[in-house]
Amino acid sequence: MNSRRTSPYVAVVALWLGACGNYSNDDLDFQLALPEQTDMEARMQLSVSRIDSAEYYRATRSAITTFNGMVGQLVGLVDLVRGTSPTSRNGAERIWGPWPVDKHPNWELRLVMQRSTVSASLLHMDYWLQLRPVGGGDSAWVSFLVGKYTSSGSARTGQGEVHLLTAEARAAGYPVNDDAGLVDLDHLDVTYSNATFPVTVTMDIVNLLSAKTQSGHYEYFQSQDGSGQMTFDWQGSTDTGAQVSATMQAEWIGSGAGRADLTAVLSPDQPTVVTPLGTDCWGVDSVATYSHRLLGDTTSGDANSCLF
Amino acid sequence: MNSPRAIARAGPLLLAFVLATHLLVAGPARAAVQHRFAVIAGNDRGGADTRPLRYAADDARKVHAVLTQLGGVAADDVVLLLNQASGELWRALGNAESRIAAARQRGERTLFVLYFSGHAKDGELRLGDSRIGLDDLKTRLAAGPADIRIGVFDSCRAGALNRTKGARRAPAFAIEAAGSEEARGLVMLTSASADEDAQESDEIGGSYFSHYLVSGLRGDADRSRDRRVTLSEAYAYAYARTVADTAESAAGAQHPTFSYDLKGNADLVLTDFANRSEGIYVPGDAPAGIYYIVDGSGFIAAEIQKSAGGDRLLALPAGRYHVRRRLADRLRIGEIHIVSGQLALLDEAHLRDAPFADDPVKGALRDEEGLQVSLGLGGTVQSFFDGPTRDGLFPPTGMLGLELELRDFFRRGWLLGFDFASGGTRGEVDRYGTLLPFRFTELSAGTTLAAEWRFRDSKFAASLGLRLAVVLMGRKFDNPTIPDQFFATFTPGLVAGARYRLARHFNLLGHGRVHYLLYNVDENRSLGYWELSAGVAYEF
Repeated sequence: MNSRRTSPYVAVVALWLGACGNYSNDDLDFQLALPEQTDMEARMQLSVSRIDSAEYYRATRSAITTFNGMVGQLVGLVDLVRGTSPTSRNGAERIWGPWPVDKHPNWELRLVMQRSTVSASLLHMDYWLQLRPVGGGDSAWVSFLVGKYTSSGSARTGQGEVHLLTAEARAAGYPVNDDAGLVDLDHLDVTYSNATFPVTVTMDIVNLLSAKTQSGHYEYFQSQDGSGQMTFDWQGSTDTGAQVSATMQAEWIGSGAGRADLTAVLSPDQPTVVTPLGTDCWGVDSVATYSHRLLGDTTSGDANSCLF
Repeated sequence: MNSPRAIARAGPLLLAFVLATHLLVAGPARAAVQHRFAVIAGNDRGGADTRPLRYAADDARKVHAVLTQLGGVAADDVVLLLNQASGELWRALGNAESRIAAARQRGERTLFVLYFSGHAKDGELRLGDSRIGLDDLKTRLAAGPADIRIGVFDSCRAGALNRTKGARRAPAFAIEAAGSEEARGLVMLTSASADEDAQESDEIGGSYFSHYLVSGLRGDADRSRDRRVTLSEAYAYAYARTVADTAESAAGAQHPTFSYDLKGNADLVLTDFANRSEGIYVPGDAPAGIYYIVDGSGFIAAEIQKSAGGDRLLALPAGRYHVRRRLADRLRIGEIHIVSGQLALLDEAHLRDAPFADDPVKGALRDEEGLQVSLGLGGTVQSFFDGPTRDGLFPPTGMLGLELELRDFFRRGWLLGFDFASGGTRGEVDRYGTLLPFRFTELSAGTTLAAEWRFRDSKFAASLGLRLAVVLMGRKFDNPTIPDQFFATFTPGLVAGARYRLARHFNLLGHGRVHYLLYNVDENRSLGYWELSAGVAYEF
C-alpha cells in the first residue's frame, strides 16, 4: 500500500493561493483514535532466551511474538494513514485517499473515519479501510478492515475493536491470497481496552473450513505491576480428521517468572473433558524450576517453586 | 551685449513696466469678463535617469487651488492632472481647446492657462516614462484658440522654451499699445533659465518658483494695492523671491524667465480678491519683515513680505494657520484662525517669542532629503485574541526579523515597508485529556503602506497604515506518529508605528499591528491577532 505525505511544494504553492494547510486540532482526534501497536501488543518481562529455558516459557514467548506480529500487521494497515493528513474533511468525517495499492495497482484503498459521538470527555470513532477496483464507483467500496474506538479518560485510552474482513475482500475479487499469511484466514477480530488496568486484548482468528487449523483465540491481560496472563488456544483437525483443541495458559509476574499449563480436549464428543498435558514453572532466568509432562509421566524440580 | 542671464534678470522689471504702462493707458481689465480655462499638471517622476521630485504634484495642487479660489477659473473649466502621462495631457489640452473654441463662438473672450510642474530634460517635458517636446507644446499653445494663452513651466531648464522661436524674449519685445484693444497673444513663464535646475524646498514643501507664484497670487505680489494681482506683479514677485532664496543654495541661483507675444493693451489680471474677504490682514503698524503662514501640515502655505507702514492682505482659505516671523535671535510665532468669509487680523500682540527649535515649519530643521531607506533588525511578539486559539492552536510566539523601510517613496510623508520575521515557541494541545506537546514555528513576510507624520525636529515620527502579510505557521509534535502540520495564508491588518532618531543614521522603531486571519482547515473561522515589535534601524 502507499501513503501520500504532504509535499513541501504544497507549502510553497500555498503562499500564493491563500489560506490552506493541514493545521488542525480536529484531525488529531481522528489520528489519536487509530490503534497503535502499543495499544494491543502483549508485554512480558522476557529474559534472554537460553538453551535451557523452560519449554513452555519458550512456547509462551513464541505465542506472544506471533500475537504481536499479527497485531503489528493489523496496525500497519492504519499506520499508513496515521502519519498523513486527511485528503478530505467533511464535518465529523475524514477520508484518506483513495490511493492505489502498491502491490495491486488495479485496486485502490481509502480510510474513512467518522466521529459519531463527542463530548467533553468522550470520543467515539468508527473507521473503515476500504478497497475497490480502480475506476469503480462509490458502491464498489468493500470494507477490508472495520474498527471502532471509544475513548475513556484521554484520547489515547479507551476500548476498541478491529476486524479484518478477508472473506469479504476475497469475495469482491481482491487478491487476498497473494499474502501468504492470509491464505487460510476468513476473518480476524481484535478487541482491546487500555483505559484502566488490567489492560486486555483478545484476538480471534477464524480460518477457512479447509484450513488445518480452524480457529485460534488469544487473551491477554496486563496488570499495572507488569504481571500478566496470556491464554492461547487453537482448534484443528489431526491427520486422521479428528477434531482437537489445545489451550496454553501462561501467567507471569513483573520480573518475568511464571507458569504455563498446557491442556487439551482430545475428544470433540466430550468437550468438558480437559486433559492436562503438562506444566512448566520458571524463574526470572526463564529456567524451569518445575516441570511435569503427562506423556511419559515425567516430573522434575519442586512443585512448591511455582508462583501460581 | 547683454548676456542671457542678465536679460533674464532684467526681464521682470521690463515686463512689469510694459504691463503697467498698459494699465495706465487703459485701466485694469476685469478678469470676470473673461471665460478662463486651465490645464494644470504636476508629475513627480521623470522616468529613466531622473530622480523623483517630491513636490511637483503638490505644486500643481496649489496652483489649482489659487486659480479656482481667486483666479476666476470655474471648477468645470479646469483639469488637474497629477502624475499622469503625456497622453492625458494632450487629451486635456484638446478638450480645453474645444471648449474654448465653443466659448469664442459664443462671443466670449477667453484665457487659457497651462501649468506644468515636473521634470524637463533635453528639450522635453518628462511625464513619468512619457515625454512631450517643448517645441511641440509651445507650437500647440501658440496656435491655441484662446485670446490669451499663458504657459507656466516649473521645470529644470524650461527656459529653453523662451529661447526658441515663436515668442520674443522680454528685452527684445516692442510695446504695441493699440488704444483700447483687448490683449491677445501668448505669454510663457518658466521657473528657470535654459541652463538651470528648478529647485525644490522641504521648508516650503514645494518648488521655489511655484511657491512664490502662488504666494504672490494670493496677494503678496499686489504692489498696486488694488486687491488684484496681475501677471506682471506675480512674475516680478516670484522672480525676486526665487532668485533671492536660491542664491545661496548649492545648485546656485535660479532665474525664472518669461517671454510674451501680446497684442493689445489690457493688463492680465490673474487673481482678483477685491470682493473676497477671507484671508489674513496685516495692518500697517505691524512690524516689517517676512511673515510665513504655515498650514496644518507644517509647510509654508504663503508668505507676506511686509514693508514698514504698509498694510498687506493675503487671500487664504478658512482654517487654522501658524504664523512665523524670524528675527536675528529668535522667532515670533503664533496662531491665526481664518473664519470662513472673514479676514483675520494678524495682531503682533498675539505672537510670542520662541526659540528656533519651536519653529512650526517642520521642514526647517530637516536634514532628510529625497527617498530615505532604512534597514532594521528587531523582535516581534505575536498573540491571537481568542483564548482557545491561543492556548491550543497558534500559541503566542516571539520572532526575530528584518524590516526595510522606504520613506517618501511614493510621495512625501508616505512609508513603504517590507518586513520578514521568523520565530517559534513550544506549545501544547489537550485533546480529550491527551496532552500533545509540539514545536511551533512561524515565518511572516509583510508589506506596509503607511502615512507618516514627523514632529518638530523630525526626531520623532508616527505612522499609521495598512499591512498585508503572508504567514506560514507550522508545528511538529513530539509524538512522531503525528504528522507535521502547517497553515499558510495572507492576512491583512492595520499598523501603527513610531520612530525615534537615536543618532544620525540610527532610528529606534516600534510597531503595533492588528491583523485578521481566515482559518479554514477544520471550519471557516475569522481570527484576529496582534503584534508588537521593536528594533533598531540603520538609515542609509
